[in-house]
Amino acid sequence: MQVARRVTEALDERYQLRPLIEKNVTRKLVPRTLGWAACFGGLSLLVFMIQVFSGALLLMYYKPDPARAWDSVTFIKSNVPMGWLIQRVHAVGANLMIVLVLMHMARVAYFKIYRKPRELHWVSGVVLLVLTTLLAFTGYLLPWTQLSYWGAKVGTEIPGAVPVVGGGIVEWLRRGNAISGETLGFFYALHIWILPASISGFMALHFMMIRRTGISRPL
Amino acid sequence: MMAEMPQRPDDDPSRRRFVEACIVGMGVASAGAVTYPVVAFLGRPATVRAAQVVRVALGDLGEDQARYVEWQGQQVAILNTGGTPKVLSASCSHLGCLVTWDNLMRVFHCPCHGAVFDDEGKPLSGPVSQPLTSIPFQVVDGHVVIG
Repeated sequence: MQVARRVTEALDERYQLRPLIEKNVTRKLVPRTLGWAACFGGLSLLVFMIQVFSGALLLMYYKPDPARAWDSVTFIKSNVPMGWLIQRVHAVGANLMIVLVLMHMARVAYFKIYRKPRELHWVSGVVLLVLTTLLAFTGYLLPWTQLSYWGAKVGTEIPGAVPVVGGGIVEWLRRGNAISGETLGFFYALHIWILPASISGFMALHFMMIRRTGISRPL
Repeated sequence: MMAEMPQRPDDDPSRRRFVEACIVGMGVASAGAVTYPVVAFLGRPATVRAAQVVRVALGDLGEDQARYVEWQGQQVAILNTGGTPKVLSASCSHLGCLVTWDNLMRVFHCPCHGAVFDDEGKPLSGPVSQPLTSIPFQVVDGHVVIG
């Protein structure tokens, strides 16, 4: 305890951490009438961080190859110690994140928080919703089960309804005519790096804008 | 007027310490509940019961009957057709459903997509081209020993 206090004091002396923490966390003032519903945004971020962490663990054993993907997920679930738990956390977390993001969105819509000066918060939030959905969709293919295969087939068919370019978009998404190993590799790259990196960027934007305008004051 | 004010219960230091200890305890328990699975995950994966051996007495195997046992995390079927035992993986070579033995027709049926295999595991019909995996075994002292 004595050591911890001395380390804290030494850091505080050099970097003035305490006022920073007090200002932003422990003594941060928020509108008095803010209720539990104001937590959904923060909870979405928390679940996202859980997803990043559990996903990093799953990456140690997952193989993005049609011949081995299913086996590698089965290996995680049955052979790796606590692998079943990490895999479940990642799968349930994906659903939970979508639920929390939608509840956050419902609150912002219901209390009309999107009005000036917060219009761009809403716009960046919609981008975040789309990226969350894409993360869930690309992750769904990775275990390479019957459900994921047909889910990806039906999902990638949707842009086919766009006139003229629709067929091209479908082929581009699938990296060919059908769901194949190429699709798996593409979804894998999107799921583990491109989408998480993009969503982190938009989250940073979203949070910085909230810092500038402050939390909306309820009536 | 300014006589002794009744002490408010939340000023009682022992009560305060108790609540603090509860909060710290919950924090430690939560941290442990997260840390334990992660540390366990980072440990080496178990080589799945690789040493598991299954023994079944030949006398327990009826003629033309199949006996299903679990061996190293998978279902295997022990057959006794024509007096010689055979051990086959019971996972269909198509999509891994559990095949069932039909002792009248002397074939395996897959309930998922209708694949049919003979008593050697060779595919007869259905959406399969690969045979059922045959599992190595030995006959020792009147027992079929797998693994």
